[in-house]
Amino acid sequence: MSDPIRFLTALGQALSTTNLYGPGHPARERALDQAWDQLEALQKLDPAPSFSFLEEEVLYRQQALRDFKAWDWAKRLAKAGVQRVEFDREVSREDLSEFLGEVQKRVTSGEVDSSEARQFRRPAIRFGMVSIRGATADVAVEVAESSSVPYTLDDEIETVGWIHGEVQTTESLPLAEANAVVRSLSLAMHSQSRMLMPLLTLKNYDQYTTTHATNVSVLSMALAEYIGLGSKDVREFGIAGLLHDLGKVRVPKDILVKPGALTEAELAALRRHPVDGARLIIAREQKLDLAATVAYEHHIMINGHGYPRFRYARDTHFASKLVHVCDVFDALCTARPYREAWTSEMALAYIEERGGVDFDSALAEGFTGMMRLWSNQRIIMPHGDAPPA
Amino acid sequence: MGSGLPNPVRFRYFRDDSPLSRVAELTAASPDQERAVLPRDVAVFLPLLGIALHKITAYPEKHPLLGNAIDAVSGHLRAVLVNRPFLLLGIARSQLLVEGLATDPDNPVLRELAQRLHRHQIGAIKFTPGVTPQEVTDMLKLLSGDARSQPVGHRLSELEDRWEHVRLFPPAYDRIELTPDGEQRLGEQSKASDSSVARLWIGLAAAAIAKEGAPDLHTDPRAIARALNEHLHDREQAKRVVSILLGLSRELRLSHGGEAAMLKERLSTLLNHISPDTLKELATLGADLAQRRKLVVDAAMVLPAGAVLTLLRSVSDAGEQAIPHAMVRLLTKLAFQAEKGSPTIREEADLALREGVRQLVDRWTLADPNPAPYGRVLERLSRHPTPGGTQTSESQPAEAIRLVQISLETDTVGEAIWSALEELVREGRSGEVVAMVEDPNVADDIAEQYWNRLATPGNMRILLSNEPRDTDVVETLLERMGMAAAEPMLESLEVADNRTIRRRLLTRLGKLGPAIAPMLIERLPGAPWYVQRNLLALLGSLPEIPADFQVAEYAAAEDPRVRREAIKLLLRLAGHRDEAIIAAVGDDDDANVRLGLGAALEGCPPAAVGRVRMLLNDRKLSTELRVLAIRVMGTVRTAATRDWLINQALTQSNWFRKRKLMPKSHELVAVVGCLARAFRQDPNAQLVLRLAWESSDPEIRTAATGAVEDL
Repeated sequence: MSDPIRFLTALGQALSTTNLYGPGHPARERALDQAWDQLEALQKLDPAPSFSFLEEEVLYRQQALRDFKAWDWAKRLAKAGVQRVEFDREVSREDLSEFLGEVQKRVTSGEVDSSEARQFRRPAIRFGMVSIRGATADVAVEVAESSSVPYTLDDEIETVGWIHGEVQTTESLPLAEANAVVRSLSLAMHSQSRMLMPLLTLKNYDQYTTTHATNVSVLSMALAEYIGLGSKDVREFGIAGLLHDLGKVRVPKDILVKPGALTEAELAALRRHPVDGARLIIAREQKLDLAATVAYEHHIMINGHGYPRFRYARDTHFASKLVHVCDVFDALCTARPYREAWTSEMALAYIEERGGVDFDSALAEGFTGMMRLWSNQRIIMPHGDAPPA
Repeated sequence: MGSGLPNPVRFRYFRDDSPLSRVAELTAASPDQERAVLPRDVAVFLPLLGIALHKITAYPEKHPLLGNAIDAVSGHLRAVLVNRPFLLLGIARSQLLVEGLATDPDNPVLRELAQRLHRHQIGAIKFTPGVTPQEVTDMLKLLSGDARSQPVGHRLSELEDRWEHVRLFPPAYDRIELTPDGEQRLGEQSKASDSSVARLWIGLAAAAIAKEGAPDLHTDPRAIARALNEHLHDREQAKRVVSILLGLSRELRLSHGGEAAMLKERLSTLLNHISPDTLKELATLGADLAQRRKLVVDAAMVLPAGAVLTLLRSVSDAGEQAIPHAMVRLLTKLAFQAEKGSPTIREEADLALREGVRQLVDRWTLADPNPAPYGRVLERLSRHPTPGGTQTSESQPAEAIRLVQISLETDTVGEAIWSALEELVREGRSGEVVAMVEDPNVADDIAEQYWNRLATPGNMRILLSNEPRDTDVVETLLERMGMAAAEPMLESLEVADNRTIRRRLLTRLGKLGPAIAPMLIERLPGAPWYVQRNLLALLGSLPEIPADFQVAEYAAAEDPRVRREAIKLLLRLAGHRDEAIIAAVGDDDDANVRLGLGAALEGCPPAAVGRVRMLLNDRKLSTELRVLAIRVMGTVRTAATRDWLINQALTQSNWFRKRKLMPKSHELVAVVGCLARAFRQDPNAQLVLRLAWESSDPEIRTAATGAVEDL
């Protein structure tokens, strides 16, 4: 058995054990030790090994491991969005442990949590989907070069940042500003004869919250319009999209920007943001009941998974389902250090695949249909030097 | 300038020594600044009109010069009316008034035109878009006649429908005119809004130069703005100006059509010419928060986007109601799009700007004049999709029940939640909410707030009026409400037409105890019989009855059911028993009589005996009541009673037959029983008792023992 195969075998055992036992369990630690030993052994020959999992095919570097076809984990990892793993020479046992935990979450739930679209430090283990180099340039980027919009969205972004600041520091929720942002985004969308979707790219993770809020607002309005809602509803959905992650103002910033995996306590703090978001809106603003609902429900999957848990059983609101699709799409298309931003097509394929499981089937279909139909109407907006949010 | 019009001569419309021109000089920022003048198109039109009128008087009908003049004035009039809903010329002795400005009386053409029209006793001429050359010609012909012998003003009623786009007005009450000394002031007009607007403009002009009532005023908005920019210096002046601006904005909201368009343009011009510093100073010195808010809100409704933004900025700065810079830029962007954006988005941008401004101003708001619950209801109602609207079925606000669920799951409450709760109560869904609030996982303080909102008289009214009634919910809330539930329950009792419901309500109300008595007594007078009956019955169920309660009047009520409950109460009230029995046995209702006789069994008041006897003499009295009455008589141990009883028991004697017992009847059994109990030892009763003892009828024999017989 070659060193790569020995390592992958130990890795598979460690993943299986991680699925069965919680952190700190002796069996889990033993499996981690074995995988770590095998990785160290491999790194003596190849300090920065990499593996690709394409369905049942396993590649070590560029070489197919023909004798390793039956490795069950190859298919499972690929399905969970881990099509490639790259190890740095500086990798540590702790890195490997984090990696196992992250993969375990993905394999178990199979869902992408947009709230965890955090930035890891440049990690020693990078993983994610693969693409063909040179063939995966985002369509939107290409379109951006040939399209223009009448103005930038810097004022909108800055206003969103200000809104978040106000919510954080005062007892108020500046509805007028939120409405103005949505109105202005709507104008940007309708400023030309055809519908435009001005989306922002993330320059700096500090701007993630504001950028993401703005993009989700645009996407939500676009989808609402696409499925035929009236203009008033479209704007309300835009507001709901803009404020869906408002609760994150209550999440400590060091958790939001923490490099690396979150502890259970940190994860719990992060997952409180839907509750906090609903509280912030309900307690402050009478006219935003839809936004409060979406803030509370946007992490709940159509199959009931996700969070928070409902005490009183019910289906999520239509608006929550709609914003959920847009939220995940934008999160997937956001670049992370350990992988490039998913291309739109990859994200759309994911949404299609999870339609009826994570997402409302009709909305998933509507969203992907809209994005493809209006693919050349997506505009990647220049993002000025907006202050961190 | 085409169409054969004269070269654009700069007509002077103000004589140099006129009061108006003095104001113009006074308010001029610099010598080269623009003098307040008539709008250019009007300034060209008026002389053409004067010339045409002159020519139609001087030339025969087909003369080419006349045709040219008519063409010129008609063509230019159409141009003037392109951007105006109408053009109104006010006529004074030697001046014309247009849009608040007066023409120069020394201008020969215009003076002659004014004088001619004045002689014709015309107060004003109004042209509206669509005016034709023929109409102009016709009007001019009319005015070319001899004003002294045939003043057109005398025939205005005949002319009312003569032209579609030209109208002449008489000089009284519906025009503005100059006073003989040239002072511009308001004439009495038929339209109050016109009048007040003009007065406000003049007031504003006066305030701008801090010379209230000064005669030398004109009301050009730019001149007023200049005056304000230069002369605003104290709080009182600022207050006066703001007050007038508020008046103008109010007039603008109330006006419509041409007046509104004109006023909007003038206000907008004014705001655009007042410097930002002056605006800020006005807002700071001259307005309190409510006034500032009102000014901006009014402006946001009607003024052009740029003017709205200008005002908002100044007012915001003045009041330290911070608007983030980014928001100001955002609004500026919207204002720009509203005024200069692509046609597809102008309207949306305009709406967005106004809505944004209004919402910002709402944040400065004082207390909402609407009571909160009413406001909430309105709010939610206003947001509900209307049937048949354009929204799809998927489009709807978050459902009320969902909001309540979220609230309880997140331990949060707010106005949106209370609004949703009210909706659920109205829809008869309180039970769902109560079930959720009773969940032990709900935080105590949140549950308490819910109970406080649910257990209210208002909600109880709704619950009690809902069909079917959610009894469990009602019971749950009643327990929490205590006496607060009395009023709604009493209201419900008044309208309940179902005996089961009434009984339940009476039971629940009875549980509230004696404290409820005053509320019951208060509701009695004038109430329908069934309400009075229920209230009296309820009073009767209470352990105590207020001593001062005047129940006697109800014992004499028209309805026997009311009397019955009143009699029951009287029977309980100390000192009223005799009164009750007398009333009852004298009643014409059998049930009431029964009640009285039943009470009298425990002791019949002497004053009632006669009435009881009268009853017994009544042949129509039922056997049941007759027996009861006999038993009552048995309680009265007098010789007269005894003899009466004996006579009731025995047949009449005659010379050959002894007396014997009457044939058996309920009455006979009762009489025997009475004699056995009350007169057993009385020798006069012995015959009856012996005959009873010897009777073959066991019932009669039993009666003779004195045992109380069944009724």
